[in-house]
Amino acid sequence: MVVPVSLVALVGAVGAGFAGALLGLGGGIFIVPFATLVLGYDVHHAIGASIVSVIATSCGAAATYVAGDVANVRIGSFLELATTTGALAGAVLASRASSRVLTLLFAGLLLYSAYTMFRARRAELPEGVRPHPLAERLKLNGCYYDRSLGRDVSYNVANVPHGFGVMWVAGLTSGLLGIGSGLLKVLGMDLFMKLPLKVSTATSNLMIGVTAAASAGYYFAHGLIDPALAGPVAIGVFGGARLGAWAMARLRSRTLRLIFVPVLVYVAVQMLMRGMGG
Amino acid sequence: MSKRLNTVRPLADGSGDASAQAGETCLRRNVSRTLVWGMSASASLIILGWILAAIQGTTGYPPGEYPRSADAIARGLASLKPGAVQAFGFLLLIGTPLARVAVSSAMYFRMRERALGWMSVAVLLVLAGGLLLGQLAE
Repeated sequence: MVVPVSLVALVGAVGAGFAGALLGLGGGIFIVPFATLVLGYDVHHAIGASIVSVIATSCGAAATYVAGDVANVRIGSFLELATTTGALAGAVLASRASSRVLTLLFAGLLLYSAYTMFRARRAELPEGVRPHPLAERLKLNGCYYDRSLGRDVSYNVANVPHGFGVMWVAGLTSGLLGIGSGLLKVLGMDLFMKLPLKVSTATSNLMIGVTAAASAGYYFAHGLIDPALAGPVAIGVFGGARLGAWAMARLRSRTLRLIFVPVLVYVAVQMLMRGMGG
Repeated sequence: MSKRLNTVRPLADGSGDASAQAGETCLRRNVSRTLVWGMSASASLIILGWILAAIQGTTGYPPGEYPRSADAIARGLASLKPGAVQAFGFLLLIGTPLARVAVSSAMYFRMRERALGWMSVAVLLVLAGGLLLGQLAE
């Protein structure tokens, strides 16, 4: 009985890792429904496996993205300060805040972001971005080789304080609701800091591992990382993430954006239902 | 990918001399290697745990259970219990992103980028604070 479930988990995890690496989300939003609805695990063990999947996606995809210079390590290091302090604040406030209101606000933000992304669907790269002084001081502006365009792409980083604020909110949301960390990271970098979408998803992949590791210790210590589920998930996601990173380098940003919009709408609808039901 | 890793390209703002560029390349290489090694080691241990469980016919623990403390993991590893080997693999996986932050921090200080170096140290302190808060709340 254990072997077939492990095999199904392995195959499902490859898909989750692929999508997570492609979109910078970590695959958690796919693993939880998969583990509960398809494999019949309770939600706590599903979340434990989901956290493992986020770390495996982050390690698998980010290693490729960093080596190829698509993920910006400096931006990641700078913004991690915001996400970790936000997550800590979220964890402290978790028992005092109204998660229903926050869930609805989060859903609204996702729907607005989906609309904004859909409007920008024809833009391949951001244009005319003026670098923020802090970006110049910390040398956050960068350059990567875009395989799909066949050339180096130089980019500037704008609205650094706003981006830092959005990342803090991303961490807070993650600490309060346990969701949305990767999505908000990508949106913050894409919409506020005006980074190329590929740099946003790749850098998000680099950062999500740290956020997930913060809560993974808790889940491990409480026996919520079931090896029969988390083992195949980790291996499958790692393989899928490497494939996703390979595919992302070859996709146009426009295509990536068109994949991103329905995922945003899907998560927003899930959050709306959760908010209204709660 | 390693070919691209060794390329030196100007930054968007045109800044950076040869040694700064070499530092950037070194930063990327070390961060990437930390992630690959951490993930490869943990994946190998998880797979080794499966193989041992298949050979021994048990994980050495009740279904769904695994050793959680350092002590229990060390004892399990000493007697090659498959569950302990996998648990050690999961711990390595969880520690990999943290090792990456530590490596980045060391690299920034080496490159005399103190602001980013201290930010990475702060991230590690915040994560340690979170763990401490979690234990106090128990």
